[in-house]
Amino acid sequence: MKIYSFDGEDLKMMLVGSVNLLAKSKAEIDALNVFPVPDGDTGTNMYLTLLAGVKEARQVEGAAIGEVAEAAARGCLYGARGNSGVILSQILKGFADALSGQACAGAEDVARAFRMASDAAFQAVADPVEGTILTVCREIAAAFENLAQRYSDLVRITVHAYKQAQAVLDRTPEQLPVLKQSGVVDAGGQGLVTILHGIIRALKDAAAQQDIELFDLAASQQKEFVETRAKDYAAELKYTYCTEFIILGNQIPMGILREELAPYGDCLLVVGDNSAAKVHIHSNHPGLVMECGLKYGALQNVKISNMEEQGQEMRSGPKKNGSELGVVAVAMGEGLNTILQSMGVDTVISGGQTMNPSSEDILEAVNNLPFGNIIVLPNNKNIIMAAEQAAKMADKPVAVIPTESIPQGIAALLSLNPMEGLEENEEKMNSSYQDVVTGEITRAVRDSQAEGLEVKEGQFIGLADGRLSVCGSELAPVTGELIGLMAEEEGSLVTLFFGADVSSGKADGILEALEEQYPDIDFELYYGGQPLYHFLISVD
Amino acid sequence: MPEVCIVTDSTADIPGELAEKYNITVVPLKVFFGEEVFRDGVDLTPGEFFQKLESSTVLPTTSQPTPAEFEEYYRPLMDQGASIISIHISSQMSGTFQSAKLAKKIVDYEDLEIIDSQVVSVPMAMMVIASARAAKAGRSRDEILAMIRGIMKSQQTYFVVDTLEYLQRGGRIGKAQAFLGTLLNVKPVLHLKEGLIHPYEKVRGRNKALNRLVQVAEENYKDDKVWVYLTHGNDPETLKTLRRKAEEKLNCTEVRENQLGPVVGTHVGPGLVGLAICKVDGIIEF
Repeated sequence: MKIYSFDGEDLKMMLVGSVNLLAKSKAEIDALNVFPVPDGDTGTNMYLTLLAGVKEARQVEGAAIGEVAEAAARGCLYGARGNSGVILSQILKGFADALSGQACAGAEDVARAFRMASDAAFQAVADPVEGTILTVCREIAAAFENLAQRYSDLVRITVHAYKQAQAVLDRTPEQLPVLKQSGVVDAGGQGLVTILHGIIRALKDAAAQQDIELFDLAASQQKEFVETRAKDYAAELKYTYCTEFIILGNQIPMGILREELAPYGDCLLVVGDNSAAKVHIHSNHPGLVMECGLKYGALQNVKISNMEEQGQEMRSGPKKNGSELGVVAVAMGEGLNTILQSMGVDTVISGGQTMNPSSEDILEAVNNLPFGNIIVLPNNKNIIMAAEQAAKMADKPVAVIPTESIPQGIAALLSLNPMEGLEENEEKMNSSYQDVVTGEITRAVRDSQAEGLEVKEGQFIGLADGRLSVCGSELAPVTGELIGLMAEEEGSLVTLFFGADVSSGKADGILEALEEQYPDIDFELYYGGQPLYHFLISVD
Repeated sequence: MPEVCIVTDSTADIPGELAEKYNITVVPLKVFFGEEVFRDGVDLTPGEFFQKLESSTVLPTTSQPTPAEFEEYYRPLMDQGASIISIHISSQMSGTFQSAKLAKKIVDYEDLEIIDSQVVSVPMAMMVIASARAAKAGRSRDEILAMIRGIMKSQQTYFVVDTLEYLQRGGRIGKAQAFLGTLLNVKPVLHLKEGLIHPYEKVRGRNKALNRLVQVAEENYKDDKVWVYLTHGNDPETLKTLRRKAEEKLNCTEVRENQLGPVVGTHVGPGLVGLAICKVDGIIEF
């Protein structure tokens, strides 16, 4: 089989191939994580980002490749999650810009498109590092350029480019020491190679005359929100009530719950674990949905909103505006939500480790606030870029304070002064959010050797400002040891936020032990309710 | 040239011996514990007040001096033919300034200048003490008024409170109400601006709070010779720490420690520490 040019239908088919392969490979890509902490989500993020692009692309009627590419890029831009998702959205943007106005694309056009894609990706990153998705992207562009000079059959070119990209990916540990230490290749790079691989599969399937269906995992996946809200409520609203609550119980059967709730509406989401599950659904019968949830435990944080009303409000524009300042923050855990709100946050977007909100989620939160100026606190390294992308898309001034953790977010909020404007606050928050040391206690998700520590899967590990610092089999001593490393100064204030996996009795016990161990340090303990992390720790 | 006499009210928190030394007339406000009435700083010293605050079941309230009381203090000075400068607590925090103005109308005395200091406690004390010393050094009324304007322009006041509860209850919280309701234990750093208490930022941990007070002062008065007046509500230990930090980082030509008096103490509660700072060169000269 030989193909000399691609049109829009081809591109749609190839994108579907890519997104399907990503869906199958995302868990493996998620596992390519430098540290053994449970925050690997690159595969999931790239998959969800591309899925948003594919859905948009499939809306395009007609077969001009320029239009399809543009739609895909637009979808990705809104659906971008995590840093890798944002970079991927920029790759698609560059690709689409190159093909703008074209009906179809030959080998040279495709090569040019990959080059522009690579350039766009590099521009998206303030401080490009080799051995990452950027390296892989650039080398794919180089491969296409070389191959396009020798061949005009796009199938052959793509197959060769894929092989070269795989080789480049395999070399990433040589370029980036942290990868080598952990014995992994770069996750984002792997995602990009998988996308290329998916294209080849689609081309082969097409040659074998098979129709490929879009394999949409999203609706059945735990940690994913996709299309939680439709674009135009009046036109598309099938279900009126956005219904959300948390079920607290024992042995909540997540799978069964999902199956039982599915018939009541759409945009169903059931996340959490068997002791606390968050349910989100758009339904015309919120009462029945809650009854169903009641079978498995007590309901908390029940929120029902009429989306028709919301839609009208959105269309009629913000009621209050002007110079007033609103704050959007990303966090997971009801305790943290409440604390952040008490410190001046207007909207808390649910998200964090392993659950990165998309640019669109953030944009929506920004646009929905009735204030003229918005500050966004991503509170996670992997959400900063999506937040910055959202800031660019917003129609009002938005300042993203690049906070990498909840403690940093809280430190930034301490200098929030609602009496002052956006710029003054941005400046003060930027200079204050790094005034804290962030500690995290979680469990290792695999065996690992890093930072001179031998970590066994399931052990407690402690990280100080993102660096793996201690490990052990008991929670209390690991926490104590980590605090010893973090709190050097006498008179420091150590704040512990205990997570959903720690009972308040246990947390109190650990606090008592810590107070005994470090009499010169002031301790405060709060319920954070965050998943995965037994303690988030802030040292002021 | 007539002698210039400085009058203030008890919310300047100027200790009695200092008032005597610089010939400052202090008009007391009143503190009520239920039915009991005390003249601020006269019948009730700061130490006694904070003890009472801890043991009393009723919360104290305060009230401004009446115009008639002002008149009592102005009369003897008028009889000497003095030029009177009367410096008072921010008119947005208390009716004291209004009372003094009414008194001026009643006594109908030309050479009586009533000044709304726009501040309270140590920054006001600084204004009053500088003025009294300038008067003692033989400066004229106009020179002293110019100095007061200079101080009002350059001076800044930052303080940390343990809790916003007292400010809120007494209705003096001003714009700092924006800092209410925080679930975490935070120390609000506040400042005085345009006659009101404004929020500055929140800090976690007492240590950090003290460092911030000095840091902010340092940022704004880096290369200046300064006067620094410190105050506390029943927490002399912390004040000592603050003084040490301030003297280390700032080029202080005069440092003074005061304690919050009963009236101001009623409205901010114990546990406050703060400082007022003012540039010396071209401003405080006599």
